[in-house]
Amino acid sequence: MAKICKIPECTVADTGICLLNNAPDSCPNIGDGASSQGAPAGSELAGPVLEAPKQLPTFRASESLDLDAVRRVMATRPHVLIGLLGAPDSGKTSFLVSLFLLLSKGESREFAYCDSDSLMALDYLSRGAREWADSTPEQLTAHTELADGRTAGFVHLAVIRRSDSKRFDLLIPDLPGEWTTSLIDSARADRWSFLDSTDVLWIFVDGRYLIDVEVKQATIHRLQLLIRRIADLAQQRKSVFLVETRLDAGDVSADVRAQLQGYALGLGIELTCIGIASFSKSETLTAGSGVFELLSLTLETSSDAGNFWPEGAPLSGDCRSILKYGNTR
Amino acid sequence: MSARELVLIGGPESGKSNYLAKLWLTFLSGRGRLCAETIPDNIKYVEDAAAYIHRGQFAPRTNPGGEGGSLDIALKADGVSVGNLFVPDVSGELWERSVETLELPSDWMARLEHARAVLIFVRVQSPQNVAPLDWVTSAGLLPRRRKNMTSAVPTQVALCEFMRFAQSKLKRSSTWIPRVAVMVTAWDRVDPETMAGGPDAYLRRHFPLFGNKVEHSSELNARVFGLSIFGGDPDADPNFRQELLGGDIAVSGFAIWRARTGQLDRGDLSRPVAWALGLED
Repeated sequence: MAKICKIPECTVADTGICLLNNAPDSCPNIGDGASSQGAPAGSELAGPVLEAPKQLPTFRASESLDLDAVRRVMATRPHVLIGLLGAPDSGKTSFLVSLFLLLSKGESREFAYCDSDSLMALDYLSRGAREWADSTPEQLTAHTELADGRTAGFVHLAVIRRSDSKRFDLLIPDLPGEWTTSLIDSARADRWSFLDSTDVLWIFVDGRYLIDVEVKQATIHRLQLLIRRIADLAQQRKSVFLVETRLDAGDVSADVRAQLQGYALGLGIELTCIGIASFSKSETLTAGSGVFELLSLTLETSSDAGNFWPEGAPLSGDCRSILKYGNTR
Repeated sequence: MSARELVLIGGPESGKSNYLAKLWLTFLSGRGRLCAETIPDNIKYVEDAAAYIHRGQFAPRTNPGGEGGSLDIALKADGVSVGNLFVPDVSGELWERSVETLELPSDWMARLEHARAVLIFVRVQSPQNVAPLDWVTSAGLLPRRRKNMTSAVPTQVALCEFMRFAQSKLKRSSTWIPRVAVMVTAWDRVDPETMAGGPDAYLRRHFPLFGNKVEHSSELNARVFGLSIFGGDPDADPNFRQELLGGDIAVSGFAIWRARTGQLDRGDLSRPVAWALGLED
């Protein structure tokens, strides 16, 4: 075994001669070949036991988008950023799956699929993607992090509206319902920093809980709290939709809707109520009912942003404005 | 002369190898849009597959583990040399795996980065095609605590991913937008009404995600071709096979596509390659 000295300047490993003129075998500074300085040249140590795995070149994944990727989409093309809130099991994921299946079947007369930067994320969801891994994600998952379960992020879906062949790039968050619960119960707003950038808000609620008298009052109360939190959080006024899921189980009464709309109006929020059935156990209501209606209404609302260059009244005939150039004679 | 490279992309049994073999015969026949200027040195791979074609049979599936072959040939169009074409063949399993793992062997990634165009293959009524889920099946898969997916990636999702891979890697310049020729093989199997509608309409109807993505693609120049290697199915129709063997197999088969005018055009099997290389619009 080659001799290694703890003193860096000693060349006993190369020359066999100790710097302090000690006998190499008895020098107190001598260590064995496996010192903290690493194996020296000529060492009899074997090579690495395992070979490094061969890294193959990869394509970028089409998973859910983190905020950086969302900002890139927002910067490069017209888009509709949607804020999707709702308690756990309110039907948010089912909606995304149903929307994706509708587009996959190509049966809609209103919308056609165009593209998606998160196609595999949508496909995973529709094929029963793994549930949120052992615990709910604490924040939007950055792309660089390895994720074993679903990643909390945005889904990107570009659709074509058949009536005018216009393309819409939708950015819809795929977030755990627990985040909405913590917004209500703890005013935990850090995860919702993007809400101010949204064009439209969707609040999902299981429609059955607005019908069943046992839980109706409590559900209305929680929704009012959520609307209040949103009103406090969002600086700018925006359209809010209350999406009542599981429409196949029954319609929410007009009274309940009026109660919630009245409450929202008091906070300056115009609330539109719509029922959907992402999946359906009813024979009279097909799966996916209401999904494209929600999309249509959302796009009509979000594109009503006002004329960027409004035409003003023409100036009176006598008044003409001419740019003055610096070098006029 | 500039060398041009094409990459064939498609799942298992989507028709890549049969097309390559028939393309070779088309080049040799001298009666297609593109013709062989010389006979390349190494033609064993394509000749092995062509041996099946000459017997009125489809070449068997490319061996996933074996060494792939290629066609490397100098071509001319209308008597004028157009340069060398290099088309490596590949097993569909390689692309199937790439959708799941996002990985591609370095040599293939390099080919994609140097290619001018890709040909994406999908076969009509292939048993390998995976349809999208329906709501009933999906509802069964959605309940909580589900840890693993068991169903396969739908074919149209894989096709969209292939196109996304091409979009991210194909080389582009100020004068060249990369082209994607979507090759709908076994086009002779569709009914007359579908045939009259064209391969682009077929794609939108049977693979809506992919068909619509192709139609609305802005970053790639995409065109859909319906292909038939023989002009019919010799496996299913023995009479047709006898007719085929009695005629000139080298010029059998056709390609159909929607031209810029909106009309359906028909031509020989080298037309998709001519378009993909930018030799025609």
